[in-house]
Amino acid sequence: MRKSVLDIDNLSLEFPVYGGAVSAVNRVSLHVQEGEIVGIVGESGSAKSVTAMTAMRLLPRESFHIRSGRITLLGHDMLALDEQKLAAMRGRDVAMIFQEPLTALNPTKRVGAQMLGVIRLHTRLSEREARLHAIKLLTDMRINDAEEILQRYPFELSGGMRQRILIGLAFACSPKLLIADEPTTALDVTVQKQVLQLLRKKARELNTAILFICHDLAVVSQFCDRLYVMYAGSVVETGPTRAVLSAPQHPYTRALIRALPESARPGQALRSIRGVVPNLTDMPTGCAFQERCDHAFEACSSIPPLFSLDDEKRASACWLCEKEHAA
Amino acid sequence: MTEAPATVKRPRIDLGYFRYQLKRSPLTIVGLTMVAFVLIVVIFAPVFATHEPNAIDLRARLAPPTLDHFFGTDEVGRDIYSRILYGGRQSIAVGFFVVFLAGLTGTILGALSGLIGGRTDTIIMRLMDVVLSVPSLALILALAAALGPSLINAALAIAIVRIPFYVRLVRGQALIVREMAYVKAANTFRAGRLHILRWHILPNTLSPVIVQGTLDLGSTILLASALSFIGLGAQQPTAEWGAMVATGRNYILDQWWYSGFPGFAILFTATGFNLFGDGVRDMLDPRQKAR
Amino acid sequence: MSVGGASDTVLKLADISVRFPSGADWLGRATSHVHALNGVNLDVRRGETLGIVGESGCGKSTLAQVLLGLLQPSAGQVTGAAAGDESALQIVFQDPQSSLNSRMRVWRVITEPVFARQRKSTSELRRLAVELAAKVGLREETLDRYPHEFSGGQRQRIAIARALSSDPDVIVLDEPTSALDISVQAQILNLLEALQRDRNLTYIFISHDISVISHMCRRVAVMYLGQIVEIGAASDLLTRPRHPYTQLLLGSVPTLGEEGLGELIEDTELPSNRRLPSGCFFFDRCAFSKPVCRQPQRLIAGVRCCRADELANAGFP
Repeated sequence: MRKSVLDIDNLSLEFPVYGGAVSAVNRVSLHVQEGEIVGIVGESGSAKSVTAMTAMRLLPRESFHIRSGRITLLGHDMLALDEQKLAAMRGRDVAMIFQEPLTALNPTKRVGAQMLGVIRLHTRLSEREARLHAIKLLTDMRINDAEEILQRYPFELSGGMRQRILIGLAFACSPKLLIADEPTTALDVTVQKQVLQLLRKKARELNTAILFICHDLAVVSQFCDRLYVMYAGSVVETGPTRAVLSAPQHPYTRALIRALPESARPGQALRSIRGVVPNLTDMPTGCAFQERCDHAFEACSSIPPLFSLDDEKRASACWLCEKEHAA
Repeated sequence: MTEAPATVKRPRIDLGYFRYQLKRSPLTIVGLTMVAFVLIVVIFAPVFATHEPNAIDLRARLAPPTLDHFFGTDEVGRDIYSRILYGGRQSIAVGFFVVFLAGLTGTILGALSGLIGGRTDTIIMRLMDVVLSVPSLALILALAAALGPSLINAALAIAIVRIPFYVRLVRGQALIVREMAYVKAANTFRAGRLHILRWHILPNTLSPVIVQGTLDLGSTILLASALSFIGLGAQQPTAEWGAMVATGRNYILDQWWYSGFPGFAILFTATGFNLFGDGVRDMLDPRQKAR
Repeated sequence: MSVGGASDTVLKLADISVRFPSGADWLGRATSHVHALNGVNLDVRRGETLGIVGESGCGKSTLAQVLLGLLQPSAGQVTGAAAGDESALQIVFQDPQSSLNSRMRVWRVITEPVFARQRKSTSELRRLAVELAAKVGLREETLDRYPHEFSGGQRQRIAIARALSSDPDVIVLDEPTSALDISVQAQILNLLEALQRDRNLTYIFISHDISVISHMCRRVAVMYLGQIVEIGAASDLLTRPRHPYTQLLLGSVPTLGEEGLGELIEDTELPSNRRLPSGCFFFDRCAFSKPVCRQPQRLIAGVRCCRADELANAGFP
């Protein structure tokens, strides 16, 4: 049994707004083990980012309200941890990368100064050692002229280069967990492929677990060991990537895969999902997908828990799956 | 499906949302209350006043606050309370006049500058730089002196000094809007400049201009009072807060109420408008509603 | 679908180049140029969906602007039935957030191309809006709302309705579904196909998403550094790419169900578009480059690669 890095148990969270509350996260349980690459896929509003942000306590304090649940990150209770310890953990034990690499870098400082600043904040390396470390990190990211890149300003570099720098930096202190929120969405496909390759190679080397948030099923299918499919704030299905994507159990996952352009022949109409995402301020009781689901029946008006489908961590939050499985 | 439902209209302002926003920022309520109080009291001055503002009563010169004269009297026995009520009309009218004039002129110039660009832009902006580069009080003094001391001239002078702020605001907004995809789309169907101005730039500059205007009301009232204080604004015997403070200054050691109450009126009004202006800024952006 | 002969060309680009001045010396003269398009030849046929694929910086957005007549090319000519006729050409942008003015009611947004150019009574415009809304699947009672009250997919429907309002022949679709969720993307793509059938529209579909292009387009042009490097029927080009860049591009597209990421890509940096390479533009990144590639490349039989046939025969060793 591998050690657990991140455990989110039964997390429910809402954002108070005018005239009520947005139930953004509903009873989400999510686990990441040492060295594992775990994906969260979902469309907008599925709370895939909010869940990860909450795990790192990155949301502004007054903006949300936790209804239930606990988050344990490397043995710490994240909902109770004080700011000082939190700050120490961020960047050292847990690193993060985001979609737009430009906003994560200070435009007025050279790349080198920024990298050295971060490295020396979390380690006891001397200026020279930190510099060598930075060069090693960049070289590992296939940046050939690392010395020269350190002298450059962020805006002088391409998006792909900036993202590789940030990934290199994220690995500076050999973190136990890396949270990557759509890190390749803004990049071109050739660059995306390279970034994913480097990300995975480095994570395997350092035994870093990755929580990979992405809307692109194809990317997730190539990159992740295990995945969680989220819909309207709930986990609807989870399991090993291949198993889930080749034989999806939850009607939502199935519908999502069927809606991909590659699932239809050219000229043939695509199979879209009818209806719209439920209003998060006024969620239906029971399954969040019931109104758009072709298979909905009476049981769907009560909340489906994650039904375990087989021994290998496969589960689906659907009454239909439960019925079929029992039969 | 062919007949257009011309009557189906949603209400423009969502009152419930308005109330919700107000509740989230109590200072806006404070500001709104202050502004509303001042406006009501000043508009209905004849109702609330206890005396004629210019009625001289030499028997009751420099009387302290009493039940008859709430805020006391001045050196010729005029009731300070009543004079403050009527005086507010001058100050607040100046405020609105200046903001309207400066806002309108500034919006037109700024929109032209941002929309047309090129040489028009350069000329307008350099002109504004000239206005801005002269210290505003000095410019007002010069203008007021040249046009002769009166409240109207003071207001004109303040308006001219205020124009560049609106020009810059609107021009900046116009430059942003010009780069939006909906203006690019409008370019593909060769919409004229007037169309882009009318449908895209002006609607999108209205809120910031209103916010700036609300914030400006406070400072304009202050400035108008200051001009009256140094004798370039309202002239005797017209009641005006700044002028009252100025005359009252001579008696400040013994008759504190003379300049104290008008001074407080200025402070109260200016603060009210500033608090309210800050709140308006948060409320007027419809895109925030989506959140 | 009426795919006409070569005579039925709605737009024809002949040797289009676009360069932007960049930097200035003390006299205000440009010190260098950004070369956005470098000799693009393209025929757009009536009723077809022409896909334009490429990565950022390949010039596809500049190409769209030239097609729409928003940008004068530095060299070359745009001709054809739809050229210079503003009501014949429309565009749908990627981001439905910024492409709709949040201060205009939806019925105004939809009819803007009409009332921007001619006086029409409110009731006429509303009638047009109602008609168009029905075509794109918007409910009539939503016409008095503002765009920000709609979801991304609905906003894109509004943008499509606007594009249709002047009854155009050609619509440039600039990444029309890139900002949308998968389920919504499917709805919008279906809508676009239905509209094309109904109105015999010509689409120029610009996208970086190969699966969307492959679903929507019969003909595809691949762009790299302001040039078309390969053009041809989608079924051939996307299954048997002949240009090494097309091959790299297609090989990088993640596909569902395939495991692993394959061999590590070493070099992903684009050459600068300020100083253009003298030979093949793809030379530095090409895995198959030979000294012969140092000569300028011409588009022959749909491929801009002098070794295309040789490589195809050898199966890209």
